[in-house]
Amino acid sequence: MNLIVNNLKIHVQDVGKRSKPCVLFLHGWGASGNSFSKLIEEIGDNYRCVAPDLPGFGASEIPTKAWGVKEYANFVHDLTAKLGIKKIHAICSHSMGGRIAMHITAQRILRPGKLILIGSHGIVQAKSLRNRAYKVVAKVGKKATLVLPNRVRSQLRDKLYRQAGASDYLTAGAMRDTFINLINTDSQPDAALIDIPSLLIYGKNDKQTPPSFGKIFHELMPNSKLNIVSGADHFIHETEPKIVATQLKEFL
Amino acid sequence: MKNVAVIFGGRSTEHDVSIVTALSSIIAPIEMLSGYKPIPVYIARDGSWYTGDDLKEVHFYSGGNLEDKLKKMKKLSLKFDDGLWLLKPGLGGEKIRVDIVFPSMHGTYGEDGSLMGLLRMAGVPFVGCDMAASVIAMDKVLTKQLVSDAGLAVTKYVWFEKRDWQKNSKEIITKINNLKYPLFVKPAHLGSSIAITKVKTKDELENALEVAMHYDDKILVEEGVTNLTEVTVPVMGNDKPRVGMVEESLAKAEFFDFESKYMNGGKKIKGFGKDEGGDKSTWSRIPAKIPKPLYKECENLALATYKVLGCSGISRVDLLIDSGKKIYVNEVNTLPGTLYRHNWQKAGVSAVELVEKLLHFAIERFEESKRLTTVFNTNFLKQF
Repeated sequence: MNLIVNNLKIHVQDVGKRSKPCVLFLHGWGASGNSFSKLIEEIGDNYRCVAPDLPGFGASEIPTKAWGVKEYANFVHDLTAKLGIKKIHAICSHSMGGRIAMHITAQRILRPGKLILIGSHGIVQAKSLRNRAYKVVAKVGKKATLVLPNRVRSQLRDKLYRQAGASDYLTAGAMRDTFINLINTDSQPDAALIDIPSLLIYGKNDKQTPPSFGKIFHELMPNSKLNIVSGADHFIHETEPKIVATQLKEFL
Repeated sequence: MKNVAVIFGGRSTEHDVSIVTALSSIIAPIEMLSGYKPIPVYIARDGSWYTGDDLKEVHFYSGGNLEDKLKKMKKLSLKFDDGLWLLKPGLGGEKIRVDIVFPSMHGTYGEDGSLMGLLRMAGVPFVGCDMAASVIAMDKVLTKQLVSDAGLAVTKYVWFEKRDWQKNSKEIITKINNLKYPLFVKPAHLGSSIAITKVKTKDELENALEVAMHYDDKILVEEGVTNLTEVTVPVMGNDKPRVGMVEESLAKAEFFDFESKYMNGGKKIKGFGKDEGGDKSTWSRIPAKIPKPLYKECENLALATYKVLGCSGISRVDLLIDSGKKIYVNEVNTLPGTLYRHNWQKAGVSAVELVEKLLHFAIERFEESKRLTTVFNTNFLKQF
């Protein structure tokens, strides 16, 4: 269904009886609430599952200015208030949604009983030698290509960014500044404040958020459990919904 | 050789569909007609006008960096001088006389009568409905009022303006609750379905109204048809309009997403979700699988609606059939996406014949309007 939150039209899937414990799902960058559909099919009978398309994604409107983790966290608060959700049994998040979920929990913007982080982002790594090299090329290239027509310049820039693995940045469009705000947010300080039961699920073959991220969060969060799923990648909740659902059912 | 300016794009949510309609269903067929030359006129999202042969290629829009490409082009200006002229400024500039305009604009600022008003002022013949019919068809409330006044059936409805809501929302809610649920809440003017909500219970109503008021100042709330067969009938012509085929929609759940799928017990609805302009064969049936007398009734009702609204050129009339018996007029679309050429083809009219007929109707209506007296000479000013 659609509803208006903070003057933005928001699409949200609100599935299951209102009387059941509420599980809130927060999706990753470039995804939508639909990315949890297989998971919700598995656990939906016993919970009220609420999966919004966060502002700027899916069928929800784009915020008029760039947002960061704080704005998304406050938005989730206002959304749950609008939906009349008094108590959140758990927040289940994927990738970028993990940053938001950790901030909401650590800063007590909402008080979920449990937290699930699937392939969660939130570790801002020291720049690798390779990334630093790309940055130098980008800076030198910017000056060196000044004489070229704009079209050629933007083609060269896109090519470089693609090689550096920044495809999300390239496709971000109007959300570029939001993307930059989010990827520059280190969630480790938030993670250190989280003491509620938490389940961390990471795919062993995940290149975007490797299991090492899970290990860092696991060490920071005293009440957490880390499950590393062999043979799985970053989108484990979509590719292996049954495995994730089994772990979720046990944990919830 | 007559210059046909095909105007598309625009500042509406249906900007992209308008490009597809223009390139595939209008410009390409006109190029196969002798005696006519299509001139693409693209209105960008910021409202600037452009022309040029590159604009006839779909890659121009789909290949990325559209804003950069447009920056390099000169913006077009218009001149009204015994008709309409397109002026390309600068060195090697051009002055193109427009003989006929073929609007290919969906939604706001295009299909809603705005463009038609401009073309009337310019004194140039144009394809499709005239201004009045376009304005009425774009307003779902006005359409219902006019159609029901003519004795044609529409589902029960309530309408209000945002300022009424701010003054007395309770009274409006009471009126709405006299209707039979499920209800459909719609912004009166928005062409696409993004802000339309199906409301099953009273609890869901206020939220749906808020969504509709996010997009429009005028809101329509109407009863849903429970045992529904949805059909659509394309119509074309001026004084003696003719129908295409009665086409049945197979996408029963209008607002299908995971939520409704889950609530429906996981029954997938085949073929849902194709955009207008896509391959219709997967989600519609031509001709509609309904009894012959009902089929005939649909044709007649579509023609009657076309006349009541004062349509000319082309339109598409959407009808709702309740339990295979009662037929209601739902809404009228004055520029059907892709002109519904797939439907006309099944009715024996090729894409080329379709545009040829529409150009002919445009000229016919223009010639008729020229015969009317619009100037009334008096000595009135001499007394001052």
